[in-house]
Amino acid sequence: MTAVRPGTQSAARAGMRPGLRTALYGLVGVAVLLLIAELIGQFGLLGTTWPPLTSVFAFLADPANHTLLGNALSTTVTEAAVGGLIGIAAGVGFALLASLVPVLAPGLDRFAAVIDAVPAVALAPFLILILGREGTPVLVVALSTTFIIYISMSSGLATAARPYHDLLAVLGARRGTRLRLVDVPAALPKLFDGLALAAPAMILGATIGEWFGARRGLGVLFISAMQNYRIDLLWAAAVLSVLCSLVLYGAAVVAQRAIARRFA
Amino acid sequence: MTRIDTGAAAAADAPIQAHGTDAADQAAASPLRDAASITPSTPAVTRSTPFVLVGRFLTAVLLRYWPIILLLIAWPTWLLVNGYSRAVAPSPLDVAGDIVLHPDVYVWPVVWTALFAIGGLILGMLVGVVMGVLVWMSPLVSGLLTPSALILRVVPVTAMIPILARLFGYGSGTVVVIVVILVFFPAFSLTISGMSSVPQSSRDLFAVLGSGLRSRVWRLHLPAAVPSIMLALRLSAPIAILGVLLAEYLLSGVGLGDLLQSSGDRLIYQRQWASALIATALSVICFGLARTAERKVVDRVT
Repeated sequence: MTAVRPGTQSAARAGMRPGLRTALYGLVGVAVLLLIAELIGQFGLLGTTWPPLTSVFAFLADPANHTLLGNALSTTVTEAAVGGLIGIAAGVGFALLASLVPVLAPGLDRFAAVIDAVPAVALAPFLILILGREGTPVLVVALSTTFIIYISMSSGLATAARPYHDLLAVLGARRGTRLRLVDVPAALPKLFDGLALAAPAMILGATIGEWFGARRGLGVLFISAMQNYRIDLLWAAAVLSVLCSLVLYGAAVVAQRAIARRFA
Repeated sequence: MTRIDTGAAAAADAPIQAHGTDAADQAAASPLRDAASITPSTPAVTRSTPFVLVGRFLTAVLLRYWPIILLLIAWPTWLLVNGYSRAVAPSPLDVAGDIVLHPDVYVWPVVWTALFAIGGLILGMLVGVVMGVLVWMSPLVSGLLTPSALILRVVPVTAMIPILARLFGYGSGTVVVIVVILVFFPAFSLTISGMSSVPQSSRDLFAVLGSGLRSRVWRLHLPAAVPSIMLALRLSAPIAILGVLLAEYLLSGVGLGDLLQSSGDRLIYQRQWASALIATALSVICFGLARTAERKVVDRVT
């Protein structure tokens, strides 16, 4: 253990430099992007539709707007979270089912591909009838998350090394035991890859679902702000939705790194 | 750090590719094998009778499409159980009837939506690949742009459409702009990661032979990126259709998205459900075409 440590530390130190440089480049790049957006707004290059970012953040910081934005934000985040949890559970469940009962696998694979190809807008009439206008966003999120998690989980379940399978077969383990001891731990890194992909899709799904007659949420704000020429509100809602996506994505990537370190 | 993020995202895209092709290969190979293993193995004499052939075909269909068949049975059953009237929830027959009796209502919207989606898809792929190649050539520029591209990639299209609509107007031009932007990001980031995936030994060979930047890009890195670029095409095909439908739903007065919206507003539910089904079929067809193109091109390159 102690013999390994100095080696890894020096490796980390050697790898630090390029890592730091990429981070620096990235920060400068983002700063330049924000600056360009700000200048376009300051000089009105794209008309009144593109406000300076500083005024968008001022609008976000103004306590007078906090109830409106807060309500919309909490609605959308709740929908994304509930739908996301349902989707993760369903995706993992279907992947395990396909692995335990291989006869079902071809049908489930094909169905997953169809679900992915179905545009969420097209599903709206069916979903509204099933769950009503308020429940639709949750279902849209759940469907898109299910697909991503199913694909990544079932490709992860197939990654376990062959010798382990042989060993457990020799020991007379049943399929369920093998799944629990070998396949599921081996699938975790890919599952978390899938979570990182699903994170932005959750916010997107919630806002799409809200376009079909929901009463509150960021998606509702986008449309009503556009129709009422409330440019500052439109941008504030857009910035909030991007921040939400980034936070979810960041959390998923951090979890993915931790899992990859532990299991890979 | 952020650079690794995009790598992780691209790596996370990859399992979908791997799995997709796996599943497809399996599905392509499976009908006969599965059917043979499911239907009790019969002696060679009876194997070729039409009855057995039909049975084998049905088993193959059942194996591959059982969730969809289940849905088609659940739909009318569920209407019956809940006692919904036809005015609220049309049955499969109502929907099919509206498509058969009024094909003229659907033809032009389908053509418009398909044209916008395919045009935007091609344009977005071109812009993404060209930008990706240019940015890859300069480590400084790619270092500067990659994290920004990542941030822009997570902007929900639902937030983008209203802003773009106010910038470019409510017409069809905006629809194309939206699709191009949506398609751009996967093409851009996958082109860069594909070009960076060239093994060191090949780079060394080209360096020893003293080839310039341009020939390295043309003869080594761009060909190596072709599988990634085709993956971007397949990932983007359903996204392009979704983008066009969303944009049409909110903005322009043409296309399937508009039909979906206007028939919903006028409470013609069988038409709304029919256009939803047609949009789904269109999206599945686009995805299938993109997947076939991917497989053909990748087979040729590798």
